[in-house]
Amino acid sequence: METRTFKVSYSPHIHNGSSTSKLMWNVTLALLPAAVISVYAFGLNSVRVLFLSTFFAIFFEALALLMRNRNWKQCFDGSAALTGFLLGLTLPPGVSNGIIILGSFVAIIVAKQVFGGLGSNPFNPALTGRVFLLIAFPVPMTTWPLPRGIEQAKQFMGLATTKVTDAVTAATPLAAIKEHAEKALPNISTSDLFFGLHTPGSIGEISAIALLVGGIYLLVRKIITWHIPVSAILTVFVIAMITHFINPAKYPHPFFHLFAGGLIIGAFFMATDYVTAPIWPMGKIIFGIGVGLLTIIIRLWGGYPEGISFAILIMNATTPLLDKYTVPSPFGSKTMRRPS
Amino acid sequence: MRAFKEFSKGFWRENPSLVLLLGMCPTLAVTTSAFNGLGMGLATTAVLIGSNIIISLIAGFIPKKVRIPAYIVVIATLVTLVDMFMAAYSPDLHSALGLFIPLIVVNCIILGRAEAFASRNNVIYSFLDGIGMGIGFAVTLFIVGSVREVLGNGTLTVFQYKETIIQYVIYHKEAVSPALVFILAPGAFITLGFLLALKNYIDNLLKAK
Amino acid sequence: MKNVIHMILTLSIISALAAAALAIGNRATKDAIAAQAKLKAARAVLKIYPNCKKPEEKQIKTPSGETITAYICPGNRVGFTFSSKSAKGIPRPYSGLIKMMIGIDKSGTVNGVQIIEQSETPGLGAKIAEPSFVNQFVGITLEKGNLKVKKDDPSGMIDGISGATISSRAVTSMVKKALEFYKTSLISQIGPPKKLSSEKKEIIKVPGKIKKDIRNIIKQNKRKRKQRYPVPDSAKDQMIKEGVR
Repeated sequence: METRTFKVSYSPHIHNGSSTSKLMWNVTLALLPAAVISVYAFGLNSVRVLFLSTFFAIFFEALALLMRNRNWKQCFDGSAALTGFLLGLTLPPGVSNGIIILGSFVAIIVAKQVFGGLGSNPFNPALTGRVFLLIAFPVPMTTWPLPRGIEQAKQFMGLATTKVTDAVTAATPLAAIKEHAEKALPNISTSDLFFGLHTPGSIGEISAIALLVGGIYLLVRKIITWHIPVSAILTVFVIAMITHFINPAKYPHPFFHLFAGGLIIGAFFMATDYVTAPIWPMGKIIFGIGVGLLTIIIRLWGGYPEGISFAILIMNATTPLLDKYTVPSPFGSKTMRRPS
Repeated sequence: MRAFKEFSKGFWRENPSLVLLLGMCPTLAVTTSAFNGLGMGLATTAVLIGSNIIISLIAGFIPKKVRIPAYIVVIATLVTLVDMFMAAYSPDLHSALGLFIPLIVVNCIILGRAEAFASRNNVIYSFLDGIGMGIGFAVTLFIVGSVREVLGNGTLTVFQYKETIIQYVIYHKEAVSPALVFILAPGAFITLGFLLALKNYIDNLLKAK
Repeated sequence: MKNVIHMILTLSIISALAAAALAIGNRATKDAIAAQAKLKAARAVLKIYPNCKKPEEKQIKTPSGETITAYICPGNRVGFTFSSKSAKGIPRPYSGLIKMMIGIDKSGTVNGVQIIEQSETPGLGAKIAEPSFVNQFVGITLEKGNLKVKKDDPSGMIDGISGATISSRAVTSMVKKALEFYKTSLISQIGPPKKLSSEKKEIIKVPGKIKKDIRNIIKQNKRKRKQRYPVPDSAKDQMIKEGVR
């Protein structure tokens, strides 16, 4: 008589073959168009930043895993690489090597491993690293070299440019608006913001089209759902439209807010982080609206020109609460009634 | 030796900021330079010693129901005195610590020691407890302040009174730009977190031995 | 009932003792605290006019209506405190209030600016108190040159602090308003130049200890500072600045 072994396990029983690793590499792949554009715009400088941030993120991940007596080979699961890559994309192309390495340290060690590693961090590691650097080194973190092709400009977007050692720097479109909306607004073309070849900014945020291509890829592959990006972008759009309608000279039109700064990279790639965003659809929509609201409030009336990083981090803090209160009721269930 | 034990427990074993996690507000808020931390620590120590002595003396006479208001009156008086003398004779430190001097009144270390220790022990032990706890607190604040000042400003201010100032330049701001975040509030939390981790790490090493 | 009386009595006695202690403490420190406030302004005047040991004090009114003290030094040079709220039209500083001591001579030229109070971001906006920034204002008049931050106006004379345009702009505007205030109202308020008699007595009684401090500052301004410990050259400027502040 033959013996058979049956495995007894809980559902689900069908696996689609995806893994953390595959997801992470897919997101990295989706970010590649933006990285390629940045290499075109800023040259080898952007390769340097992206390489260093990614390399040291993996390095610190391995170090932390060793210190915690875990299998250090987990550092190649793609999550650390993605964190490092995202961090690099949020930095200005001119930052020094030391700042990049410190950013990777804060992102991986302080924001992720201290809380227990992958899946346990309450705040998005890449953005924590970026915000730490922004507060720690405000001058280098807001020095934006001009992209290739407009290096000789004495004036850019109606504002004076400054020469810092070897590169000419100018304000980002959002910073220009903050400083002198009336002077800068007529000089900024939306198509430049959309294609991103002629505007200063963080490495990954300059080209809206490249990011949209990557974001749509993620949506098609069902790696992310539409709830967070759409609700965040729509919120920004609506409020920008209202303020633009009230005073067009001071408040830029909604498409400007859409394509300038880090709204698209933030809404598609950072706010959707599995670990730090809510799970349920309703929670995701509230989360997205919160991100959009905080972003546009900081942009229009806050002390910083760009607010997406702060917005996502603040909303990360609400994720546990949203997860608790937005659990959908299972299909067909009814609310319990006391028998009368 | 009980006297020595009461004196030394505040240094490490029952360190008010690192083990009891009391007095977090001044620990985080005023430690922007090593000397500010030390000044705050010493001001708190002065109040703590005074309140421990007075409260251990009068605890027997105070009805239980009104002990907390009575302690608070004693502590508030001592704090106000420290505040006035500091404003008169060390105005730089006074303006640097600012609002946090009056806030010593609600510092949990002082009321906590009054309630948990001074009201149940005699004057000598209470005095030793006050000194030990105060020094433990002052040293911790000094360390937090040193780390923050070195990382955030590149200097280490050890002493500052009137025209005398002893300040070491650890590195030059032009060569290495300091991480401003450490002078600001988030840096205080990060520094304290790493110090707590270090303290527990050392404790574990000692236990393993 | 007995308990209640006991409680009331204990608390009353403790409060009375506390009040007595505070009264004694207040009497002991009152003069010194008043003198310290005076000393702070006197120090700032001395840094702008090292020879102005005994300025004549006069109460004046700023455009926004607050009463301040003007320190009139020999040669009819005036030092007075001016804050970011002393006149209308000064852009708001990044955080809180900026207060400065400004010295202006009778031709309307700025002789010096000292920041007395500020709560700008340390390491960024707080650099407005450093000599490299405030010394830019020395020698400036309303007529000569464009008193503006370069970032706002390429022909401006003032180099802003990078990363702290708002703070630089506020101080620049304060200096401009102070100059305008000097011209339009301060000159008439302080009246014609007086001959200062050297016998003039101090108005506030200053305890001996603090009097000695003022004398020390005067001496230090004349003599070179004595070094107490070795420090690198570049740190000296900052040390001296922080030490005297």
